[in-house]
Amino acid sequence: MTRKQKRLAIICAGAVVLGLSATLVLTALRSEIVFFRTPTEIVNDPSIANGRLRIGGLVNQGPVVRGEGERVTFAVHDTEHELKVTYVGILPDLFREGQGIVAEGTVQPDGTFTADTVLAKHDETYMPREVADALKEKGVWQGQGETTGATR
Amino acid sequence: MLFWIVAAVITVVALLLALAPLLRAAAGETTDDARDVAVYRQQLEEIDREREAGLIGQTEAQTARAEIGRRLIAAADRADALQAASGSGGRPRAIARMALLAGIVLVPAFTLGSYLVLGSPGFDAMPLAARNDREVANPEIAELIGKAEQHLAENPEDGRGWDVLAPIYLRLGRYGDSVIAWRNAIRLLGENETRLAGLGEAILAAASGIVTAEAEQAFDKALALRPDHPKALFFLGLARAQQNDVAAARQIWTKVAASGKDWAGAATSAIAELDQRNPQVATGGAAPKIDDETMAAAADMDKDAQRQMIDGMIARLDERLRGQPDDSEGWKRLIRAYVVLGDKAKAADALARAVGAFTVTDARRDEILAFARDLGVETQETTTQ
Amino acid sequence: MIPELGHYALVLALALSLVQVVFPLVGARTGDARLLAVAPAAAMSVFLCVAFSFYALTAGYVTSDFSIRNVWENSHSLKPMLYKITGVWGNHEGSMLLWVLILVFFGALVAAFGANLPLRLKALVIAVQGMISIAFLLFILLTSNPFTRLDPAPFEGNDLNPILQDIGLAIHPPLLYLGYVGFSVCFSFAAPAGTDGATGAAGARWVRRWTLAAGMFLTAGIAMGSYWAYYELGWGGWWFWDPVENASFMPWLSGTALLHSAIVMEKRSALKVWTILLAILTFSLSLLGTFLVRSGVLTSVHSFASDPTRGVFILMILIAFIGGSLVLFGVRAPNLKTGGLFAPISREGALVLNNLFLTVATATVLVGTLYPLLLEALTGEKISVGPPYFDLTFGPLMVPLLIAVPFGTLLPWKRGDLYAAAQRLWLALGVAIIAGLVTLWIETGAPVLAAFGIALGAWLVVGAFADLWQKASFRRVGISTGLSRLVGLPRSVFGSAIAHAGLGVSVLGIVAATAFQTETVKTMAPGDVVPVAGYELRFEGLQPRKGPNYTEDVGRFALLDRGVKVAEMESAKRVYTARRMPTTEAGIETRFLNQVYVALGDPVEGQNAIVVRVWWKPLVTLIWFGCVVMVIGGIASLSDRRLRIGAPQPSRPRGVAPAE
Repeated sequence: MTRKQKRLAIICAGAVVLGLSATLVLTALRSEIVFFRTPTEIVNDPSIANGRLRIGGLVNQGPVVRGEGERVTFAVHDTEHELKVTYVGILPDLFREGQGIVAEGTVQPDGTFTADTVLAKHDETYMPREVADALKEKGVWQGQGETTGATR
Repeated sequence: MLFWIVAAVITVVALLLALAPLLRAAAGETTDDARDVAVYRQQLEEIDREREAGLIGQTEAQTARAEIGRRLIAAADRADALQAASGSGGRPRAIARMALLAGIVLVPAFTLGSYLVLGSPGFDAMPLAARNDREVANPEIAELIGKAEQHLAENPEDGRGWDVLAPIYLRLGRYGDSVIAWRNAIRLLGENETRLAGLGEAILAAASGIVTAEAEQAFDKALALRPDHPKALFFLGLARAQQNDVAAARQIWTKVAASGKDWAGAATSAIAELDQRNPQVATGGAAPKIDDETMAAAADMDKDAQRQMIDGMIARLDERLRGQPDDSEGWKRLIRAYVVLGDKAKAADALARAVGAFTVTDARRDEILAFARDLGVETQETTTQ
Repeated sequence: MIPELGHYALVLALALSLVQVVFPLVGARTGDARLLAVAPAAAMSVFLCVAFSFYALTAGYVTSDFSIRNVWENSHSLKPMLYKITGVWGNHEGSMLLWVLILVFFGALVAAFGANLPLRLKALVIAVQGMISIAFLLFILLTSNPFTRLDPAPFEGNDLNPILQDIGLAIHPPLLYLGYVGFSVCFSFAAPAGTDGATGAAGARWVRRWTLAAGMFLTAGIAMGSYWAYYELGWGGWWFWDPVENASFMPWLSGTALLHSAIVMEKRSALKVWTILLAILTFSLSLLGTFLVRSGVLTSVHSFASDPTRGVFILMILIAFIGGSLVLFGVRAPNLKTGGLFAPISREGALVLNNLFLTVATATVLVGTLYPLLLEALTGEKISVGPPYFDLTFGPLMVPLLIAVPFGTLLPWKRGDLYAAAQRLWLALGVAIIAGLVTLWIETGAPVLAAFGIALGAWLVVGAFADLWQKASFRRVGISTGLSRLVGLPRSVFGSAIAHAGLGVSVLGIVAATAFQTETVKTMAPGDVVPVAGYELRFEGLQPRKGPNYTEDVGRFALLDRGVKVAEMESAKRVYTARRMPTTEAGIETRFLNQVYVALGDPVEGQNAIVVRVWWKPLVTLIWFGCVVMVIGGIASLSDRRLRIGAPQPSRPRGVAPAE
């Protein structure tokens, strides 16, 4: 091979790998990202509630119902609307009423939310950032800190 | 004085170390290429060793030697050329002397200037052990806290312990701990008006003097148990003032002032402040952070002594901010404190200094301006803006 | 007095850093050797000043001097002494001071051990180090000063946060910083390159050594952080593709690429431009990592509390350094002489392939980390990019790279023969296929992909030693000569074999723990039994217990093997008394290389039962063990003080084919 051909071979290999990975990245960004929504957004426009979502808000003062052992049902609100959440598994240590949390999962046809991940704060001053922003817009809360959570 | 002597010694030693090469006579410099030649020589020896150990074959060794040889010759040529080109010098001597002079003058000047702006020269270290021995004024407090904390670590369910510790934490400025202690006391001993009002005060102090919903709830509960509780009433008035409900605030504070009890003095000055301010503007606290500490510490003093103590603390804050102006929270506190005392001129002066301490692009500058505007304090600049 | 002296020394360090930058630059322009010689001397002086400053802050922590705001915020007189000291860097201000301390320490190392460097290059490298010091000293003094004082001083500190009192968390940041900051030296070598010869023989060796050292520390730091999250957070995961994790992983990926391209630059004087660019990018990613963690622009599982003004400051540093060095690079790169030629199939070609995949992988991680930020800034839409994205993009890129690794080490320099290399890998291929088949047989119904992953791990481990085997050539020269040849090999050859094997070990652990982990969430009353991968876990009951500063409900479990108790396990729900802070203490039992992981949930009201989450994590320990092996490989390679060159294959084989 001549010097030019060698260089061409390397450049071609590079272009192929780059092209393939760019395709992968674009596909993944279309299908694998998770949007953050507030309960109000979901209530106002149910059409956005398809696919995987993250929802955030404050845990309702109302009952946290522990059904069938591991199944937990509670509601999350953003001061305007609330959303019922079902979660199977162990809730994070700092999960409690009035707490700001983020849950990841899907909205069911009946309008409830099935979560497979629940994140809660790590200390007294923390609020998950998306929740804090959403609530700030409503003038309810401000602050930041650390977070921990549970996933399954 | 000792501090400045040690600082001077450090400066001299560090400078001497850094600038030592300038004091030495100019040493001959080996060029890059001469160094590279040495490296390539070592590589050649390496090949011979590897060949002897049987790690590479004869042909590989030959080609490698040839390739390194090519690089070696190129580097050696460059080195020779450089050697021939250089050879004269004399001008550098003057540059080095100038550099030495610049270093000796500018480094200490820059360090001293910057440090005077940033630091607190002469502020001694205060290791806890030494303080406990030395500070005659507060030995019992440090000891009391140490004992109480140890006791509570062993007996966390002792509600009375938390009850005692909570107000002490508040006085020491540990607002978060005070909130936790009050909560523990309430959890273990149940609610009463003192604990609830204390809890509210601690929450408010932790929030830099803002009566949060949580704090107000605590005061409401305390007042439900004892409607004329002066502390709870006073802070409820503050809550109203912060919610722009001036009439309600005045009414509540008048009640507290009339009672002639602990908080009467604070209520009187709060009303005075309320009157002074533009009636439409009613945010900011009559009891800012600085006041809380003082109130708690001076609860038993008479009014004059109390006022004196507050003045002293504000003066100290003012002094500190002259030294360390890069503290937006400190400026806000100072401005608010002057407003509380009704000293509008000083408040405006503080605002002007605060604005001067931050660059125009700094977000904290705007923050302070907005804060001051809410309190009804304005500078030349804000009015012309 | 000590705290103020510390503060003063820090300001003095800033002034001397200016000397460290300006003098050598003037010296380089005027050709004055004495001005150039100021650089190493000033670097030493700056190091001593910052070290004193760090000592002063540490002394404040040790003596509980609450007149220092930073100590008051982050310490407590009742903290154990060990955590008082580690608390120095357990917070933003202190950790930035540690960052700078390591930075100037490395500058001093270059000054002290740079005897074999040309003075001019050494001075310029140290000057660039000085620029970084100036930026970060300014950052500390102006936005995060650890020496701010409190008057009147409080009597007790604020922090006794139990979660942070952990030895793993105490060692993790220094290791990570040693890695991050280590790349600054590579950057400093690269930035003045081009005309000034960092790409020469002497400079290239330095770049490779520093990259290796920094990479080792980063590997250890990441592994440590991962294990801490695994056992302390109590939710059984060891990697979350969390932004903060990505922030440390990206420099690792591009640093690994840099390590391999630096080998080519050192041995063959090729890939100079590319190596310089990679050195710039790697340090930029380290700075980006610092920015992401410090600014709080990203939500994370474990971030420090943060402050937007600091973020803006670091962003400015980031732009100045990346932009400046890239401009310099653009101006000077064309002047670099291209080095030795090579065919696509050769050691160089393999290393180019390695670089290609690693940098593209870095880019995919970068996109996944920054895309949410970008989208929010542009559209206001809030999204999160999680593991599925990374599985789909990062995973496929790693597979061809890992397959290629054993080939790379067997290909000779300049031009190689793929078929000849493949012939030497029969054994590795055989072992890999057997490992895959065994996996399918044991884990009936295992996904083919998982079996493939296991095979890949085995391929890497065995293939890593093929090079050693070939070099010893036992079959041809007999055992004793072979052994003596093996002993005579440079240590770096062992180093790369060990490190590649370590990578394989980690791959085995990752694949097995991901594909074959089982998880059970179950409500258990005392006496209940759950099966865990051939074992049985019996719940013995819940007991309250009292610790020094907490109370806990301890769930006791017995691990049974065919009815025989082989281990006792405990998992607890703990409440720290003073702060009313609940934590979960996971129970972990290691069986061979596998682990059983138990975490307690909430008690079921009205019943004597509790929700329990049980994982079986097969081969999970291999993940971290592999990292340790990689670090050992790095140490072996670093301990090789011999100077090495690549022996190229002759262009025309003469007579008999060259001996193996």
